[in-house]
This record gives sequence, structure tokens and C-alpha cells, in this order.
Amino acid sequence: MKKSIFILFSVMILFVLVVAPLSLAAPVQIRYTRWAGTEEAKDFQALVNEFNKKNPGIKVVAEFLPWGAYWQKIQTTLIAGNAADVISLNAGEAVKYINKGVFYDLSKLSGARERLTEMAKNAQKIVTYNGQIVGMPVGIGLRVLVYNKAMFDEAGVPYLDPAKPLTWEQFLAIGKKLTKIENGQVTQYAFQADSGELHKILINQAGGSIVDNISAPKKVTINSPEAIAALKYMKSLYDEQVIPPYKDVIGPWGNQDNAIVTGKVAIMFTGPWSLGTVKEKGMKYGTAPMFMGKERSTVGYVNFNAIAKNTKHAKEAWKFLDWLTSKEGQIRFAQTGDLPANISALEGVKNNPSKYSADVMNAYYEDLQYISMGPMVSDAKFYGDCDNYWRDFLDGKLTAEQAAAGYEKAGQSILDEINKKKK
Amino acid sequence: MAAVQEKIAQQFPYKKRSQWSIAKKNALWGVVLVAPWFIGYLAFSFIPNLASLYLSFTEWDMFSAPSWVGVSNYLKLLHDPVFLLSIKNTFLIMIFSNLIGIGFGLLVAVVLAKDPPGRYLFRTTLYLPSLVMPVAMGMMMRQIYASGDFGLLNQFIGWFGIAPQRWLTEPNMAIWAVIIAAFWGIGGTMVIFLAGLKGINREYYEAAMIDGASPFRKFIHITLPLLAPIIVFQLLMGMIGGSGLQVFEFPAALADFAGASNSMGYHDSLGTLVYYLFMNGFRYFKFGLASALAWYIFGIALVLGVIIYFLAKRYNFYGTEE
Repeated sequence: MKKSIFILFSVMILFVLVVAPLSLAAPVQIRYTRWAGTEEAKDFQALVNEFNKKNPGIKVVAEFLPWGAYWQKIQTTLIAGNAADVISLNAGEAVKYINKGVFYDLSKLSGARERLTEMAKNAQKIVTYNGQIVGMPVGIGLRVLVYNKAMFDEAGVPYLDPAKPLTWEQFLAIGKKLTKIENGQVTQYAFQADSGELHKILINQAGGSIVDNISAPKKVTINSPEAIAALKYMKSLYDEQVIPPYKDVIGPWGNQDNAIVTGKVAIMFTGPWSLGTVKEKGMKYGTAPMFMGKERSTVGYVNFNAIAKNTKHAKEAWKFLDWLTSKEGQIRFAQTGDLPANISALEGVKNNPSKYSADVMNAYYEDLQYISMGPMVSDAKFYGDCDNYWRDFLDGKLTAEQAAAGYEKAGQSILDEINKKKK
Repeated sequence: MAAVQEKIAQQFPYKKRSQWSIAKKNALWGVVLVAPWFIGYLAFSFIPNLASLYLSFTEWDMFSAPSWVGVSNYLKLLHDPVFLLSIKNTFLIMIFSNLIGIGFGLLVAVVLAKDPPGRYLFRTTLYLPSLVMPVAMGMMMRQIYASGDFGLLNQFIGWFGIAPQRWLTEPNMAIWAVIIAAFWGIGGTMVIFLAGLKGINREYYEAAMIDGASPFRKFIHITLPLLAPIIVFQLLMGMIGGSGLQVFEFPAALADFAGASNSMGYHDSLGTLVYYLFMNGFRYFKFGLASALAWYIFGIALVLGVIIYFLAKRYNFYGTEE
């Protein structure tokens, strides 16, 4: 009897000393950071809460900041080596850090390479740098044509096909009809798009390219017949007054994210993030895929999550990222507004549209596989210096050939300097 | 009396302390009192300056260790057209903004010093805009400099039959948009001139009036010479400060609005020295080049400071001076 009491007592002590502390052990805490407005932050926090609930051993603590402040914080924390374990990035801003060795190489983690193959093809390129996987795409923001149906009715132009893109020629033709000129003054433009993004898209649509490799460019390839044809087509859009002068960036025509709301532009080139404003205005609107040249291409903003190189919890951070980029996580992530980066989740997202009806979102789903990005050059001077050439072409100061040659020369000298340093 | 003194001396014996110990104690207190400032100066000014000097001879992106490149950053800048454009723009802003600020500030101060009706309202109205931060002013100017008939400035010049301008996106025009904004800052100089004008002895004007001097001659021969120290002070502050050599936030805010965040406006037309320093450091991660640029700015400030010092010596008229 005494013996059995002793055994029972020993087991209880053992339980108290070993098993109970284990079960009560505090979960591993990882920090996750992302840009978000007040409303968006609620959506992302709900996502984090869902993961925390499913993974009691890990506690993700999220921090959300507005866009401008977010990037300042990322810069200072990465330099100080104090960045969050999981960092949200977008390709445009991340380019400054990708070659600085501040992100964990995810290829070292089990399942990361396989997961990357499930992502949209062009999104894979963004996060692959010198054989390393510097992040995992989580969402894609892309632009399609969003148009004011009343203006189409007034001009007698049929609504755009929500699945089949217009050709360059067809777009120019309807553009001319939609632009209104009264007493020699344009009172309504057909289209509004950011010239900096438009020229890149048109070059891709023409079958050309700006650089040889988006994420690790070594050669500027813009001086090609395809790219020159794209620049010429772009100029025709401006010359025919289909699109407002590119220098009227702060003016009555708004920008590519709000142009149709001004009531002075028929079509804008925007993402789902602008649809709320259009809806609020009570405007009858439609969406259509971006027009096409020889090939299809539209602007895609690849948002990805990276793990900080000096994290102490790489495995836990990856577990969070793994869930976020899985089919299940991506369907859930799409509720926050982005389109899924994981193509296998697309059907699930289509069947479960978040904020807008499937007929509005269809153009986005159609164009998802045609996203393209501009070159990712770590020295931002590349963009500033090179942009001067196509602007001079639009101003009539250079021919398309001269602009392409000048762009190539200016860009190549910057790339050479970057690549020399790498050696 | 002597007996009393002796009694007191016995009761309170005076310990003669050496001059040396008093001086030592005073010196120690001096060091203690100066120490916070001195430590602050060392930590936040002297050591960063030395670090900046060292970095100016290196290539450094903040993520990896700096590598020594000698004077190549300094030489590279001399051959950099954007650097040269930034110098030109900085001097244009420095000259014209200060002409506007000092010229119009003085003019308004002279008018308001005569105590016209509504002077308090005018003084407040003119002074308030000078309190607005340059970035906030940049945001406000977005509406003023907008393109086409949309922009308030274009609407204004339209009344005189002038065609709408692209103030921020036309490379030859952009820097003038920065200069024109100097009108918003005349309130600051006006207040200082007003204080100076109030300090001028009225007897000079009365004597001149008896001699039959016109208002213009009184201004030239009394007001201007007696305001010379204030004008020199304003000039010094204006040339070295935020509307001169250190001009940065306002053109940066305008360039960002013009949609050219990777450059300083189209064709870097809004580029200034400090703005280019910022771009090199925090946008292009070229801290070596940015540091070299900082030392060029220091050199220019030093030369300007010396010139203004001699100007001040030449044109200051103080009562006690012969």
C-alpha cells in the first residue's frame, strides 16, 4: 500500500516538475510587421489572431504602421539589425535591401522551395536573388481598366469585354472617341495612367524588356525595336490626346487611382483598392483586362514577406509564413484586399470574393497571370536618371531611338557600377 | 573698536584659504556646469563631424563596412552634373528668396511702422504664414501650383492674360516655384525689421524733416544705415539657413507631389545641395558621397560666412563706433 502511494506520489511530483511546466511554457513570440491603414489593420490582425489560435506554441505579435512611416521604420530597423522577425515588403521598396544580405535565405527552410513553385511565375522572380529565396510572395496588387459606363454610353462606345483585352489599335480608336474637345480645349480625356508605369507595361506588351533580369539586372535591354515601338505607341496616346499630358500630375484629371471619380476621365488604370471610392460615388462602372500589344502584360505589385536574417525564431517565423502562403492561408489573405500570390488558391478566392462581386473582380483574375514588374535596381538613381529619356521623347526633344539609346547608356553605367561592387 | 574686532576674530577664527584652492574649486564648478553642454557637443556634433569627415573618404551603404576610396567622392561630385545643378539652384534660391524676404519684409515693415489703421491685423496676417513648416507649406502649395486651370496660381495669372504654367513639372520653371514661395516667409523678416525701426530715434527724422528731406531721402539716409546691422543679420541667417544654403524640405515636398520621388523633380530640376545630400544618403545609400557633399556645403558656408563678416564690419553703424 505504502509502495503504491509512494509511486503515485512520485508520478505526481514528476508531472508537476516536468510535464506541467512544459504544457504551461510560454509560446514562442515572433514579431510581424506590415503597412496598413486603420481599417486594413483590423483585417490583418484578424488574420494573425486566426494563426495564433491554430498554433498555440507560437504567438505572432503584429505591428501595423501607415505606408510612409512603415518604410522609414523598416529602413532604420534593418540598418540597426533590430527588424521584426517577419517583415512585409513590396517589390518596389524592397529592392534597396535585397542585395544587402539582411533577409534570411528561405531555401534553407524545409518546404520553402516547393512552396515558391506554387506562386505566380513573375512573383517568383522577384524573391529569387542569386539563388537565394529572400522572401515568399503573399499577395499581388494589380491594375486593370476601370471605366465609367455613363461616358461610354454618351460616346456610343460599347462596354469593354471583361475577359478579352483590346488590342493597341482598338484602344487608340475608342480612346479618340472618348476624348472630348470643346473650343480647342480638352474637357474630357479617355484614359489616365501613370506614365512611369505605362512605359514599362507597353514595353513588355511589345515583347521587349528594360533589363535582362528583373531581380538581378546586369544589362539594360531597352534599346530594341520592340521597346522603341512601345515608346512610339505611348507617344501616340499622348499626341492623340487620349491621355492627359504626363506633366499634369497634379491637375484636374486626377491620377490613375481616382481619375474617373473626377468626372473628367472615362477610363482609369487601377486596382481593387480604388473601387470603394468609385462605389461610394454611386458611379456605374465596369472593369476590363489591360489592353494588349503582341503580348499581355499589366502592372503587378508583388507583396512578399521576408524573415529577418538575425531572427532567433526562423522556424516559427517560417511556420507563420508557410500558413500565410498555403492555399488555405491565401484564401483567407485575399479577404484583406490583395489577390493571392499562390495560384492554387485562385479558384478558392473566385468562389469566395471578398468585397466586390465576381463580375467586377473577373478582370483582375484574368490579368493575374500577366503581371510584370519594372527592373529591380538597388540604386534608385537608375529610375530617376533613365526616366528623363522617355520624358524627353514625349516632349519631342528626342526621337524614340535616341531616347532608348540614352536610357540604355545611362542605365548601363549605373548597373555596371552596382555589379562592379558586387564582384 | 579694535577690541571688538579682536573679540570677533577670536570667536570666529578666520581660516586663510589659499588662492589656489579657491581657483581650483571655481574651476571645478566651471567644469561641472559646462560638462553637460560639452558632452552633448562631443556626442552630437564633434564626433559625428569627425565620423562624417572619415566617411567622406569611404564608400559606405550602412549595411556593410566602409571601404576607403580616398578623395574619389570629392572628385566624383565635381564631375556630377546633378551636383552642379544643385549648386546653381541653391544659389538661385539663396539670392532671390533673400531678395524677396528682405526686400518685401523691409517694405512692409516700413509701411506698418507708420502705424496705419488695421496695423495689428496686417502684422498678424503677414506673420502667421512664416510659422508654417516647410513640409506643410509644400502640401499647401500643391493646390497653388497645380497644372492647368486647376491651380490657384494659374487662375491668378490668367487674370492678366498669361497662359497656365506647369510650375512643378517643367524643368525650367520648377525652381522658380520654390523662389516665389519666399513671399510666404516675409512675415518673419518683417517682425525683426519692425523691432529695428521702432528702435530708431525719432529725432533723426524730425531733424531731417526740418531740413526738408523727402520720405525717400529719409529712408535712404537714416533708415537704411541704421538698420544695416539688422539687414546684415537677416542676410546671414537667410543665406546660411533654410531659405539659403540649407534649403531642403520645401523642394523635396514639391518633388514628391510632382511624382518624382526617385529624383529631385523632373530632370532633378528641384535639386538643392542639402536635398541632394539627403538623396545620396537615404535614397541611394551612398553615405560616403553624401558626407563629401556635406563637407562641400560646409566649405561654401564658411566662404559665405567670411564674406558676410567683412560686409558686416563694413556696413555696421553703431553709436559707440567712431
